[in-house]
Amino acid sequence: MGAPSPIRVVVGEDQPIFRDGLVHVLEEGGFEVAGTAGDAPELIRKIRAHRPDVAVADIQMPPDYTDDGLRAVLTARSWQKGLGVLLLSQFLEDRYAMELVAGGSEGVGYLLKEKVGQIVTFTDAVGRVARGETVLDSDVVSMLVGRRRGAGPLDDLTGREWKVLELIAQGRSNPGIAEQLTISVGAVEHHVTHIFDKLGLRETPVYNRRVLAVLEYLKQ
Amino acid sequence: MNGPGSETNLDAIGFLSSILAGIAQPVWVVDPEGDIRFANPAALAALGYDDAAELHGKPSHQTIHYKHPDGSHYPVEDCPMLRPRQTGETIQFVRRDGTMFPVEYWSAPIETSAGRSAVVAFTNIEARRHLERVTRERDVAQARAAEAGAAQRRIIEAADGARARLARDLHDGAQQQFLNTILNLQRAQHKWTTAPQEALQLVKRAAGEAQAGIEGLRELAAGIHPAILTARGLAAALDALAARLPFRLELQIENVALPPGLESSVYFFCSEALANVTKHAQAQVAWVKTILSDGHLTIEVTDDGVGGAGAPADGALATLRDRIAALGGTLEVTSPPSRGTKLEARLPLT
Repeated sequence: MGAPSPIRVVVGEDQPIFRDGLVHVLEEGGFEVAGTAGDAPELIRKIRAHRPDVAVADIQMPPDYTDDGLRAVLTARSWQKGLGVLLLSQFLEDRYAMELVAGGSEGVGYLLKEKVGQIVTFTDAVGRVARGETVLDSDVVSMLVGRRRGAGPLDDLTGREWKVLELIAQGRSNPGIAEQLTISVGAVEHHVTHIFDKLGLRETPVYNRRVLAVLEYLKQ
Repeated sequence: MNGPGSETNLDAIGFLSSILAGIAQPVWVVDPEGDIRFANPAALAALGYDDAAELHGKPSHQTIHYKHPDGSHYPVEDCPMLRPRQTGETIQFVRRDGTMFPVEYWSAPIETSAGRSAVVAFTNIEARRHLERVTRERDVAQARAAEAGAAQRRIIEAADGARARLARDLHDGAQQQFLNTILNLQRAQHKWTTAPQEALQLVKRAAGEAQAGIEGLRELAAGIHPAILTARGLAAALDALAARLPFRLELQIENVALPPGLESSVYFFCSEALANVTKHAQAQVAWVKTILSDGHLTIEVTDDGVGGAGAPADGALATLRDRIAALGGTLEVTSPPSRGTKLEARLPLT
C-alpha cells in the first residue's frame, strides 16, 4: 500500500502576503496546492481547471468585496458535486455560516481568518471538509449559542449538554466530541439523545443534517 | 321727528364731506337702510372705484363685504359692521374687482335726516400684515439656521470625538499588542541558540499577542462599518449586531432596498440607540421596527428598561436627534419612568 495521494486544494485570497502564507501552511501540512486565485472569477476558473478536493477561499474578495468568495464556491459546488469548501472570514458573522450550511452542510466549513494562525485548527479543518464533514468556527458557534433569547428549552440543558451542543454545532462527529471532552462515545450518544429530546428535535443518524438542525434551532 | 337740530346735522354731513375729501383716512357713511351715502376719495381709492357715484346708494354690505375670505357668501344679518365699535376690528373688504384685503375699522353712530346712520373709518392693513409676516418668517428662518448650525456643530463634534476614541482604542489595543509581538519575537531571536526553551515560550507569547491584536481590530472594524451591511443589508447587519448585545433584540424590518447612504444612516441610528439601551436601560428585550408609508421611513427602537430618558441635557439623545434632523427627519422620544423607552424617527425617503 503506497502513500495516499495528497488532498488537492485551490486557494482564493486577494491579499498576496496572506495568500502566500496560506500556500505555505497548506504545503507544510501535506496538502497539494493545485492553484491560487486573487478574485472570484479567477477562483471559479481555477476550480474548473484543477477540479481540487477542497477550495479554500476568503469570503470578501474582488470584484465586489462583499461576499464574492462565498458566491464563487457555491457556484463551483453546483457543478462539482462533492467539492469541499472552506471559507475564511475576517468578520465574526453567523449569517454567512448559516447560508453556507443551509445550501448543504456536507463538506463545507467556515473559519475566522485569524484561525489560520492556529495551524492545526486550520489544517484539521481542511482535512475534515475534504472528508465531507462540516466545520464551523468555535467563536461563531459561541456567538450563536450566546445570543440572548427568551426563556425556552435551552434553559433546561445541563452544562455538559451545552458543551456537547456547541461541539455538534461546530460540526463534530460523536467520536470527535468524545475525543474533545475525553469521554466515551457512548456517553456522547447519551448526551446527544437528551439534548434532542429537550429541544424537541428529531434525532437523525446523518450527522450533517443534525448540524443544520441544531444551527437552525439556535438561530430561532 | 324734525327737531331743531336736524338741519344742523344735515349741514354737518356737508361739512364733514369737505373735510374728509382732503384726508388720507378712508371714511364713508352708511344710512339706516345700510346704503352708502358718502365715501371719501381715500375710501374710493382703497376699494378700487373711480367715482363716488359708483358707490352712492349701493347697499354697503352687499357691495364691499359680501363674501368671506374663503369665498363663501356672507349674509348681511351676520355683519357686525354697522354696530358701533370703539376699538379697531379686523375684517376683510372686497374691492370692485373682487379681490379682498384686510382692514381695521372703526364705526360710530351719526344722526342724519334719514335717521341714525353710521360713519365708518377703515385702514388697509395688508402692508402691515405683510411686514409682520416677513418679519416673523425671517425670525423663524434665523432661529432654524441657528439650530441647524448648532446641530451641525454637534454632529462634527461627535464625529471628532469618535475619531479621537478610535485613535485611542487603536493605540491602547492593537498597537500595544503588535508592539509586544515584535518585542517578544526579537527577544526570542536573541535566545534562539543559547536558550531555545525560553525562545519557544517567547514565540508562543508573541503569537498570542498578535492573535489578541487581530481580535481587537476585528471588533473595531465591525463597530466602524460592518461589512455585512453592504453585503446583506440592514436586517442582516442588525441581526449581526443582536449577537453582541447583552439583551434580546427582536427585529421587524421592512424588506425594501433603501438608498445605500440612507441604509447606513438608519443602521447607525439603530446601533447608537441600542448602545444607549445597553448603557442606561437595564433592558431584557428591545425591538427594532421599520415601517414604510407615504414616502417616509419610520424607525422605532423600543426597550422594556427603566425609562426616564430624554432630559434636554441628555447628550446621547441630542446626537441621535441631530443625526435624524440632518436627514430632514424628526425624532420623538417617549420614556416614562420604569416603563421603557421608545424612540420613533421619521425620515423622508426622497
